[in-house]
Amino acid sequence: MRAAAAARPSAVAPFPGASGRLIHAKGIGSRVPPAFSGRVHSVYRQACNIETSGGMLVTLLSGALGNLPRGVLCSAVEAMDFRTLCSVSQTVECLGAELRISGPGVMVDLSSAAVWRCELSACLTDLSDDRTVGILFDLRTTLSEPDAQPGGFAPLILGNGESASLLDRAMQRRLERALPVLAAAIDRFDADRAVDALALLVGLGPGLTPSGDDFIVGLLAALWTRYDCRVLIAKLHEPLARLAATSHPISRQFLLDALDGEFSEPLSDMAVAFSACDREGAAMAVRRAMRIGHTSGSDALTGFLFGMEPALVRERAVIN
Amino acid sequence: MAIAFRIVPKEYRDSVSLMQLSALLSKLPGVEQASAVMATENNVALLAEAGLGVSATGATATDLLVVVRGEASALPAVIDEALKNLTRQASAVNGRTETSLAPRSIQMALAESGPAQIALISTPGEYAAAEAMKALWLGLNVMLFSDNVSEQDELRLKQAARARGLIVMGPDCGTAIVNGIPLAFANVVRRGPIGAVGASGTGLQEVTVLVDRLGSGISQAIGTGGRDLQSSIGGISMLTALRDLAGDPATKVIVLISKPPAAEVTERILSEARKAAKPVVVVFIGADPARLTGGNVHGARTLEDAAYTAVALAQGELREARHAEDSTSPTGVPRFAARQRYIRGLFSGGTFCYEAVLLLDERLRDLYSNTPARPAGALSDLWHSHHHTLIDLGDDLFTRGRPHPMIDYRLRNERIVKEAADAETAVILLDVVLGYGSHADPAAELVPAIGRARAVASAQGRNLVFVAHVCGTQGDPQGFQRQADALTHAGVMLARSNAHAARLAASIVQGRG
Repeated sequence: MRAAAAARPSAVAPFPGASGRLIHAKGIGSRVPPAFSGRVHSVYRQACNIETSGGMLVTLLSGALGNLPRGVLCSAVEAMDFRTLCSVSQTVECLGAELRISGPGVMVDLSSAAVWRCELSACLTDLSDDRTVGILFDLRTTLSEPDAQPGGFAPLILGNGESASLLDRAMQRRLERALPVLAAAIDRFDADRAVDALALLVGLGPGLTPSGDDFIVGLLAALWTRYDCRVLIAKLHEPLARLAATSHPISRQFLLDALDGEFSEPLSDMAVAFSACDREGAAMAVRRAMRIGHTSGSDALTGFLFGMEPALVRERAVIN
Repeated sequence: MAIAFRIVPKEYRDSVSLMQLSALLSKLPGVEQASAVMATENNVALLAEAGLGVSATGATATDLLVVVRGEASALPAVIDEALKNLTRQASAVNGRTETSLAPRSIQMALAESGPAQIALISTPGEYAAAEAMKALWLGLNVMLFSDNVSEQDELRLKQAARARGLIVMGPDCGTAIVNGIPLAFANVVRRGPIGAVGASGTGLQEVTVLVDRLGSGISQAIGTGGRDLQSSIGGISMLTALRDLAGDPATKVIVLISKPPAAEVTERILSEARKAAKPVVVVFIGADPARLTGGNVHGARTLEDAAYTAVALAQGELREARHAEDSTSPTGVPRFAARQRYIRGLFSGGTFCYEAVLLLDERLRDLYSNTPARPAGALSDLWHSHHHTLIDLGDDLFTRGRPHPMIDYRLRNERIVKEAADAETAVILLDVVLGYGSHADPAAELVPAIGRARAVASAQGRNLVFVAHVCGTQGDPQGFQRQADALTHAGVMLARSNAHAARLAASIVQGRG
């Protein structure tokens, strides 16, 4: 799952001044550059996004969230609430074992962080195996449970009740237009039609990372683990990257990473469990993925389910 | 119905905040529908499709778009409330201060915390010795949780500690209870008259747990690290602890726990034990208890025997160390298939595996293990069992790159199912370690795996017997009874101790057919 070796060998220098905060990183995504400068882009309780001078987003994360390809996973106890530690526009310098944020001062010690690599693109899922199909049914059951649907796409695609919200009803109509086209396009490896459908979903829906983007990330995760979809992904790369540019910067980064086969640790763990036909492991990974964001986890899982087997979500009236 | 909206530029709120804001606004008087979404092209279009269309010219995907539909007269106040809510969220966060610098050295921690007596050090091995030496210089006893400390460094540290009247517990010391406080992997036991010193973490846990279960309690439990009783170290920490407990008025009986030490170290330890003016129970697992016994020193054969003897001595009942066989035969054992004749022990505690190997070796032939216990044969392939096989899953080979099996049950669960698929497996023998540091709910991990294993065996027309012992107390975070009930409900035969479990397993395979 993870490489144990520390990637940043140099020792941590003493922190200048007494008002700063030292945070120890326990994991670092393999796509985090070894050196960069940038600014704090956005700050949330459990995450702080840094926009590098090259336009990439690197995310400092609370330990509970799991690794990201471009994430630095901080000790949960020490990281606490990022909003109390840093604010938007503060300058950031990262060199070797240290990542420093200006202002009152935060230093992230990277020296003992284990390098994490997403293994999802190395997984292959055998859809002809009954056990895999069983795990997919488990996933559908989990997503269909009323308590598991905090909003977003999952209740619209898999739920039973009609939403009273005007926005949800409009979103459902949008899904009814997009998903049959998308399913047929994946079935025929037709990238052009797939892009037409994806264009209806990018940046669509509630949340900081809109539900449509999370759904597409999950969809791409599924396609990466299917032996027959690599060419389709390659064909989707350029047009979907263009579409991603119209969405929120944080969401955009996730979409671009997903096109490159890079996903969050919970999604990666889930794909590993699927490819190993590990029903229990998959259930644990699904539970963990469901905790991402408000609807992001369930939206991504819905996308994953759709990408694996559109028929499993087709039973719902969305497509009929 | 009218529509009002507001673009809030570059407002990055997390999804939960946006959902909460939408829900809050929707409940305000005069509001039919409210939405707070990022102003992506698709969301602007979606709002139009939903009848909430607005002319959000200039808005981009990085801006927040708040749209409200309802009675015209109510909308200005609703939009105001939305903006106030966003401001309140921001100020609630900014009002908090978090500026203190976490201690980065033992000296800083001491300055912050005031007087302390012990430093618990858990760093990568290459740094641990230096940190431990700093702690000793500051007058602190050391619990060295880290492993990968060289023997030379261990000796240097222990000599330095001895010169200062201090003790180094470790390296690789995973268990201690100091003044009633469990440290690292330790159980919640009542305080009492028995002091324990152990070169084995799970050995210490087993003795302290059984003492608690027998109604007595622990004054101190001191780990020494697994190498302490080797010739190269000479038992420095065990001797220090023994002297300390001998002088401790709260300690009435001392228990010493280890695998058999080097001969000269055994003599040194026994000589020091005989100087104590109180009973000392010695369990050097695998050593003949009769050769340890003499004067105030009582040899014990197993960890369970040591606990029983110590409690009896503390209660003023001088009696022989208990090592009687369990007389009752196991009941409710299902019929095995012809080829089912072997025990497969899957242990998370190294000492439990070691003790079980020694006990089973007295009764069974063809016994293999990855523990250094003799005369069990060494396994050529740890991933595949062979005849009777007992595996210490805490072996470095298994724990490289993953948590210890007391914390992470995945590897053991996989192995349980794998053993179940082997037509020669009759009994699966397990230890379940509770207490701080261990998995929060071991039974919840094990029971599904046991169910899968039974299903695998059953599909091939076989029955399996699971035998386990739970090393834990009712006061442990996992709750002994809760764990025991769950395992019993899953059909696991529960033994009262590791030694009992091993004997029970042996009786079952010997009684087959």
